Amino acid sequence: MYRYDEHDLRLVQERARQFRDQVARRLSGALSEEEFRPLRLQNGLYIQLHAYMLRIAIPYGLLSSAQLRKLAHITRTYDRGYGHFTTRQNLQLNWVRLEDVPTILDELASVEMHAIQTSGNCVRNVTSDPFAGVARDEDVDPRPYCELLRQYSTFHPEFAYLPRKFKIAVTGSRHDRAAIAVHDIGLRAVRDATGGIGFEVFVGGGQGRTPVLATCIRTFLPERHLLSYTEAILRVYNQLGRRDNIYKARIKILLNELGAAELTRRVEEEHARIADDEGLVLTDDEIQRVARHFEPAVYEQLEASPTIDGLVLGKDRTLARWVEANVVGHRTPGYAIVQISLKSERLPPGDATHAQLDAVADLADRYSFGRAVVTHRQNLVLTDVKISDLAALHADLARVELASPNVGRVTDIVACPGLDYCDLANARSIPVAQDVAARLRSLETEQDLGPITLNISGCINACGHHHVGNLGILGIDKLGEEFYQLTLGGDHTETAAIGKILGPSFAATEIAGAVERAVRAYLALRTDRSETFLAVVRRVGPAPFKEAVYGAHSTPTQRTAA
Amino acid sequence: MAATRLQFLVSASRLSDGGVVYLHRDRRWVESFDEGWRHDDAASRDGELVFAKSDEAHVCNAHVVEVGVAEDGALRLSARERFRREGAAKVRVRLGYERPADH
Repeated sequence: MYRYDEHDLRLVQERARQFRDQVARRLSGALSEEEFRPLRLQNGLYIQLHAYMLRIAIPYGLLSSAQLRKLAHITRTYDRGYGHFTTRQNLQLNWVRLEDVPTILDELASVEMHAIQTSGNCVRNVTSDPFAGVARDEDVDPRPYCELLRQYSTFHPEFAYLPRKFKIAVTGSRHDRAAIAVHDIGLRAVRDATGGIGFEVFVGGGQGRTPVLATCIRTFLPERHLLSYTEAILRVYNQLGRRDNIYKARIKILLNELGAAELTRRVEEEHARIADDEGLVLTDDEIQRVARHFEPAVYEQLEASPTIDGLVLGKDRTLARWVEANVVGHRTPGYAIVQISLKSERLPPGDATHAQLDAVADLADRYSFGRAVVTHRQNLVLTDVKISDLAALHADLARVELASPNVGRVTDIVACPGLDYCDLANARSIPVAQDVAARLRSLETEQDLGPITLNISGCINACGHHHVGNLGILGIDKLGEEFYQLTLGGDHTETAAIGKILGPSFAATEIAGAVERAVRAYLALRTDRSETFLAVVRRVGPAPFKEAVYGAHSTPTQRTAA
Repeated sequence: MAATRLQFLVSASRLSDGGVVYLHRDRRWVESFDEGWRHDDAASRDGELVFAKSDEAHVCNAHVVEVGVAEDGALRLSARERFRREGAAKVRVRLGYERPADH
């Protein structure tokens, strides 16, 4: 993984020192809150419903075991012993004290981490495919490009005050595990006929109150122009994006107002002007300099090892269920990608305790070259586990409640912090996630529901990505009471779609039952077990689900032929 | 719910830890919603809000909380303020792994 050089290190250390002085001046009264607020937000420090919240950047989700141990130490020492992984592959601490934050930033700097640009109208943490570098369907490892974008966008003086926050995601695989369609810029690294690397460039995607899927404005951008083209997009947005209305300020609105053709023309025009600027052209040397940090691990020759399929069919059914749901094939024979579910019976979605963070660090060292990756579905991944180690790893994970066999299943629920924590939320997300999971856990086990994504957001800002869940839940406030809208048919992958609202909202006590009725409708409607929830929704449309969810005593309609 | 009248509290976030506090009648900040000063009239409320916004040594995000009071005394708050009132100790299900608040 990328290691900081002396410039990177000095940058984060001095930023922490600078913030220590700013906090001291705020506490002494030398700085007013109005003066201090932008300074703390630039360091990822928010005030939430009950306490300060510190959002820590995890570039493209990649963590070393040393960083995991440091995060465990920080949650144990300065917070309440747990952290919350977010849909931007970051980590949030929910109970920090203001006077401790500079010390936390010092601690983070000591392991090459920070909280810079995790808030504010700037380029946020660049996200990526959690299987990057090891996925079987990968054409190009996206991590060097993520890192180049991170370095380019960090403290970029021209883009420190954009009309609104700006999110970039990069994938290099055919199957999109980075949700590039719902980002301000989504990049898919591809190879041309000669093997040259370039990018499909998507612009103007996003969620929030106006969900939009991104539009492709370039089908092949040579890699040398990655930064210059990104700069052209950012410059057009910075100049033309609205600043008069926070709800109309994202680039998706600009794209809608200008039209894709005109936005593309302006970007291309700007790019033509700057494409060959020395500081923006990515030379082969520069790409290789960064790429060397991401060279493949030194794998053993393991052709004779057991297979994933063999474990799925094995006698140990607990292990088999976990392998089937959580383990994915690796590009190197004898190895596997292991997804660690942070969706257990006891913990809220995405939460990890200090003990679990320490345990994952140890397991990463023991089984996976000392690395782990955060996913945008709020789970963790060990990317390089020997198949022969899977049983031992499973047993070790079970000891720390991290062996839930449900990744990609309906109880693998993505949820924002909601009204339990968030100052913007209208309704709680966590109890709804727990209610739904409790209700569906046995059904999931008994019926082999297959892949279903369920996402919950506590408000229309959509941090829980409810728009792109196969089932989405949106919390709303009706005269002081929490209600929940159900959406159907969302998809964050390469077949991305925005879910449609199914009907009137439900009270908090009713929403879990409504979700169960939708899932039971799927069971009745699917042609066989190979037909996924999303495939059924696309085949039959919302009507049978609506009837099942809202009908007073309705039963799902009969199966229909495909 | 019976007909309601509107009252107002001044609330804020404590500077040191962001904790929820309410302004007491004697201009102390208290954690208990019930000890906060409920104003019946806008002039009284606005005067205290001016004080609260100026008390930056102790708090930030000072704002007015609207409280609907029914004839039977029942209170109606927005969901946000209801959860702020219930406090950090009531946040979500207590799962047993959280460290206490006095870290």
